[in-house]
Amino acid sequence: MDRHINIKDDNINLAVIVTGLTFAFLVFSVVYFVVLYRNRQLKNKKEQDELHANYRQELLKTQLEVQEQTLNYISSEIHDNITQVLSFVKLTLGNIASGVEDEKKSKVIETRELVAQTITDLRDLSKSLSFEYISSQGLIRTIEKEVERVNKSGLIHVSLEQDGSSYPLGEQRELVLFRIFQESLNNTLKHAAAHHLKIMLRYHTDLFMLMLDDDGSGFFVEKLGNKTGSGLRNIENRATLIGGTATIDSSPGKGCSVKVVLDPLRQQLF
Amino acid sequence: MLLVIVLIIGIICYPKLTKAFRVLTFTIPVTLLFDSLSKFAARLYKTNALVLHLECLALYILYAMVYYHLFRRKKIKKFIFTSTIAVVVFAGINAVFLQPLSRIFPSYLYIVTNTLLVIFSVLLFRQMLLYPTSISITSQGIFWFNTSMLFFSTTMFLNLALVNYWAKLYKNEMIYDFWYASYYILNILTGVALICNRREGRQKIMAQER
Repeated sequence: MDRHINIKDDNINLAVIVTGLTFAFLVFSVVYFVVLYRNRQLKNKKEQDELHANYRQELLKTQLEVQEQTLNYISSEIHDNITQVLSFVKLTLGNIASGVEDEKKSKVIETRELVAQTITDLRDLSKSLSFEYISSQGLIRTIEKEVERVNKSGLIHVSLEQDGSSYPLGEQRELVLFRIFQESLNNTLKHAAAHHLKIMLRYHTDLFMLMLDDDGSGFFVEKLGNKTGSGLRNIENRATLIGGTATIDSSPGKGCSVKVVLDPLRQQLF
Repeated sequence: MLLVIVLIIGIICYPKLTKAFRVLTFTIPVTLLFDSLSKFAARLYKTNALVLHLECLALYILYAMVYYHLFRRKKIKKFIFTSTIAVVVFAGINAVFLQPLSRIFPSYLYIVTNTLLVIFSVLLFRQMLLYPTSISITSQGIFWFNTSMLFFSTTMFLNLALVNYWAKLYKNEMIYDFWYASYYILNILTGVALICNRREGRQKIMAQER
């Protein structure tokens, strides 16, 4: 009888062990699955983020290429067409000036000078739009020319400072930096009502910095932050494209500062 | 009582549930109905084998339909469809020749259907790993449903073994308690699955509205 009870107890114990093991195995399997799933989720998210970043990069690159093509086209049209026609007008005016009486002659000469000025301005504009010109002259020289042009216009006083000896940043990066510079300059001219604009170029071994600092009316950066397609957003996007970061700092009455920083040693596709 | 609570949850959640989980909701009243009939038959005819034969088949068809809607691959859907037909045929053969409908508990049918449900469950876990979503796993109805099926179907083998072997020897009520515990876990997890699926449905609708 005792032996029979012992066998019964052994069987019950076995049942408890088997049941316990089965449950433990199931729980372990589900927990293992959860961990595995979580890892997959993280991996997927990382891949999606990378894809999104690549897509954004490609999109920006394409936008920039299209923009450059358009600017080049406008530049060549100004250079080859408009300035040629205006040169012809200038020559014709020169010829007319010799055959008319004094009263009209002064007006013709005045008009001729205006046309000559327009030709010069258009040539400068054509150069600032042309990719070839920027790449052949380099970033500093092109910015200097642009500063000269703006100072000549008398709209604002622009000063340019350079810290450290310059080094080439690569054609594409210099072009993008110049477009950032142009965008910031245009913003200052159009919206800032500034009297002075200070441009700083800093060339250090492991850091390049372009800074534009105006004394204009300023604005709340946060208010413009979400506007897609705005000039400031363009500046940030362009800086990202060349592996740099753009910081825009402004507040009402305190002017605006645009700072682009990049590591010149970092290899960037664009 | 638990089944009634889960049924109420199912009815409340029903409009916002996906197709698969709407089918899952139907398993609750079906289980409730067969459980009641089973108790009634046991009292009246001293055997509930007929009800269990029908319950096992009906629930398998419903669960297979749930899985059919949850799987993406056509091959697996085809497999589920074919297996369901095969199970219906086997249930008929079993009821007539192997474990007569009116007398014997349909253990063969339970073994076949639960084996298939374990296979579906493992395949669904595999699918989830292949196509992970951004939603947290514990907020996914599909996870809770599949976990409940895996638990219930795997423990069913153990239940059958315990009932067939030890219960005959010892007449121990505890063994039946284990069976009921499996049912409770299945029903609780089904309720959780329905709530989670409703939330997912609401989130999708809100995302579409945005």
